[in-house]
Amino acid sequence: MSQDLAIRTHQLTKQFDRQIAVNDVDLQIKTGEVYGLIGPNGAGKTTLIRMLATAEEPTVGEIYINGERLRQDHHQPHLKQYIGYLPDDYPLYDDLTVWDYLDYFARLYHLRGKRRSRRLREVLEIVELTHKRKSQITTLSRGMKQRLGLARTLIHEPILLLLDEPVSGLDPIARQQFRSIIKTLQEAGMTILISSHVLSDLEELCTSIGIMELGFLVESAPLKDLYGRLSRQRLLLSSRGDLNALKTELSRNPLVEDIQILSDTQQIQAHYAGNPDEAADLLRSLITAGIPLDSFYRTQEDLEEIFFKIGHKQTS
Amino acid sequence: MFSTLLDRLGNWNPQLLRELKGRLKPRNVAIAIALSLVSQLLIFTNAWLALPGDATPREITQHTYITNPYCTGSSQYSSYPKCLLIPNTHHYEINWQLWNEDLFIRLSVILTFALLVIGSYLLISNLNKEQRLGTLNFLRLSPRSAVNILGGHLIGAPILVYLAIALAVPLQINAALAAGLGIPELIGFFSLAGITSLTIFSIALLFGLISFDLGGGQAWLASGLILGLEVAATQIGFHSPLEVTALNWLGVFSPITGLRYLIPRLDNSSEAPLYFFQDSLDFSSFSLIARSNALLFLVWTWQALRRKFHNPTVPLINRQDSYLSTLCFQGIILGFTLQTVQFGGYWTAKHWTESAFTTVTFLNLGLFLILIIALSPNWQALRDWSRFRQKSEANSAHEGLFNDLILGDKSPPLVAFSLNLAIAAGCLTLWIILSPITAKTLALWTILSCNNLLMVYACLIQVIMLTRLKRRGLWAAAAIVVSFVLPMFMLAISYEVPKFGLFAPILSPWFTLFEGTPFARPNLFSVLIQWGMIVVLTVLSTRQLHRLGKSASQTVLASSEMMVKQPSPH
Repeated sequence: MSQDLAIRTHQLTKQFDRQIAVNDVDLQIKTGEVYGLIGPNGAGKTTLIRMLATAEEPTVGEIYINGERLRQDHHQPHLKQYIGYLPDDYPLYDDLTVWDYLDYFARLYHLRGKRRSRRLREVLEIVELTHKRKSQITTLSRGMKQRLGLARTLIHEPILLLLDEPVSGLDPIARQQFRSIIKTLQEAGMTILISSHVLSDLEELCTSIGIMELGFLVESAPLKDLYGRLSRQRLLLSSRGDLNALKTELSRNPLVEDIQILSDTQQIQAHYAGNPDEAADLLRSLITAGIPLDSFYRTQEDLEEIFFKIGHKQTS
Repeated sequence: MFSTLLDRLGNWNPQLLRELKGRLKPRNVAIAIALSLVSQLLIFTNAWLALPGDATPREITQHTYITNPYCTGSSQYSSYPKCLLIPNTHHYEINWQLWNEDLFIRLSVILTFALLVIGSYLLISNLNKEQRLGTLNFLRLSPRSAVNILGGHLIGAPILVYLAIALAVPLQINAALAAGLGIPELIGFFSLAGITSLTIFSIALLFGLISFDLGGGQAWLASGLILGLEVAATQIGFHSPLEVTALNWLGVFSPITGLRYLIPRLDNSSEAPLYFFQDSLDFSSFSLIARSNALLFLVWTWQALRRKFHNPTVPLINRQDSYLSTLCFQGIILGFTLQTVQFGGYWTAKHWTESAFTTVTFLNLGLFLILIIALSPNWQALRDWSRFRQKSEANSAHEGLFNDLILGDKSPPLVAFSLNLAIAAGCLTLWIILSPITAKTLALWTILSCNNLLMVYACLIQVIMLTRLKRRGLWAAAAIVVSFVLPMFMLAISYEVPKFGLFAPILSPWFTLFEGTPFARPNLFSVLIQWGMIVVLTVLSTRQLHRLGKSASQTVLASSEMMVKQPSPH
């Protein structure tokens, strides 16, 4: 069982002075998963990731990477070889070129000769920076620097990626590029733990989600389970006729709840508990009742709405 | 060929390759070479100008004599020898061996000081820059060892200084050979300078690694301190003052001291010869001791570097190493203390031993103050330890506590500190029993009293470090300074008000042998009061620890309760 887990923590706790940043966290991430960590600022996400990356020593608790215990007081080069860590503040050596920077880190991770050059070319291709390989790091844009940081994280072919707020401050195009890189890495079988405030990105990338509040891991489940338990369907309708008539007609259906008229868009929004067949029946009944329907959308509450609904917004 | 070599170097040590690539730019190399050549020219010209010029026609015709340190005549009527003309020329005879010897000494002093001071500055400022940028944390996360990464820093950061110094070495070697120094002695001197520099640089690296929180200016501070240490060490090394024999230890920290034994002219017969465990030192025995001393410091400094690099929160030294280091340091101190002294006049065996004993206790005061800092875990670690111990006590799991206090890294350091004191006291007691000192009982009381006082200091530091004060380190330092100065003040006024003198030995056993004031000597009364202070401070710090542990548990509990009180969405 533990062999299938890329990460396992047991009662992991980190205390700074009077503040408990991470509190008794039992986290389990299966190999090959993309695990999204969400929570308000100060909930303990960064501290948790730093402990997993060996950048911070736990106050109490244990961390297992691929079933092997991680110890801060032991120099464990083979475990460090497994991990690729991209912090939210990613310091770079401004005096180096892109190629020299990656070459330096490749050497730090014992990559030699042709294998090193090949790997450098591969990661530059993955992060789409091949054309910038001879440029000084100072000349790169923020998005490019972020991608260079990711290339540095990937250079030694880690099997576990820890990404802390990797898309913060990026424009939509750079974010889209970053998402496509993560998908490529996921397809390559890498286990990825990613913390982000951009929940729509996580929704697109992640297979599981963990929610942190006050240092606790209050929720940890596959995304599908989370939707199944906490996400409700929603209907969005508009009519060429009287909205009140539409509302009356909808209220007759027992599967429709919380009907609201959105006065600014002249639409009706309601929660819906039925399946797709029952939704088709509802649409048919509305048309039969002579409602001049303009649009009929059936959607589901997204991750952001689930997060707000759960209400875990306290910082530690 | 060159790129293959660089590639291999980079595979072995990527940090070194990075430092070399960043620093060995043509412009920087040209500046280093130019500075080195200009400095050599200045030193050489300065030495050349000290020679007598050619004799003027007036000097030749009127037989006027001039004197110069490098002339070959007699020095009967002046401090320098008379200058003699080479027959049928207007040139004076020059003692070239002496001139080359002086040139070699000048070059050795200037090059050694420049290497140590500038090199240390560059090392610390480079490491601080990496820490400020946060790039050092990335290196910590890599699978490379601390020795590999910090070793790369050590060789790479001052590479231009190494280059400039290396360019001056041929001139130094040439001067040494012309002065008649043998190649084995020269190799001995360079190896001594090499290992001492390596040790000083390693200490500088350690200082850079642990001093980042102090703010700016560490590099200036450390290079200034190193300059001061080297000047003091050279002074002590050359004069080996008998009154403070244990301080002769400092002399071996300067490779320049080796010149005293390498060049017989510099070993002034009016100064006392230096002994180690009563063996008279020559160059080979001195350099053996200096190299062993440097090696000892090198090993412990790198142990601390490895610990601090991988985990910046652990104490500098682990407890097993501390016991061994105390034993070694006591051996070295006693080795330099045990001189063969020609007694006469004021210098009776008793006087000398008392004076030497006072120096040893003072030196130990400094060493043990450093040791208490090096052994102390940080506030958070003590708090975590206390909480963990309380949990264990609740489960009636007492076993291992003593082991933890003696060998653990995160437990309170007082037990380990007292063991170190016991080791030092054992060594000193042995010496006093075997020494010619007449006041043996008083000396043994003094050892006990000094150790008690060091224990009081350690407890006081622990109590302050466990408070919630901001800048606890500063408060602890202030408390120690006050406890050190206050008794001196009390002693000073005790001549007027003898009542104060009664309390002096409690806090100041250091001066007792010097002063000879009967009331200031350690006695049962002062020792009992010191024990009382140790008990009170230990109880206080134990309570603080318990309170810290409890408050940590309460924080966890409060935070859990907050979670429970929240309405559940499910």
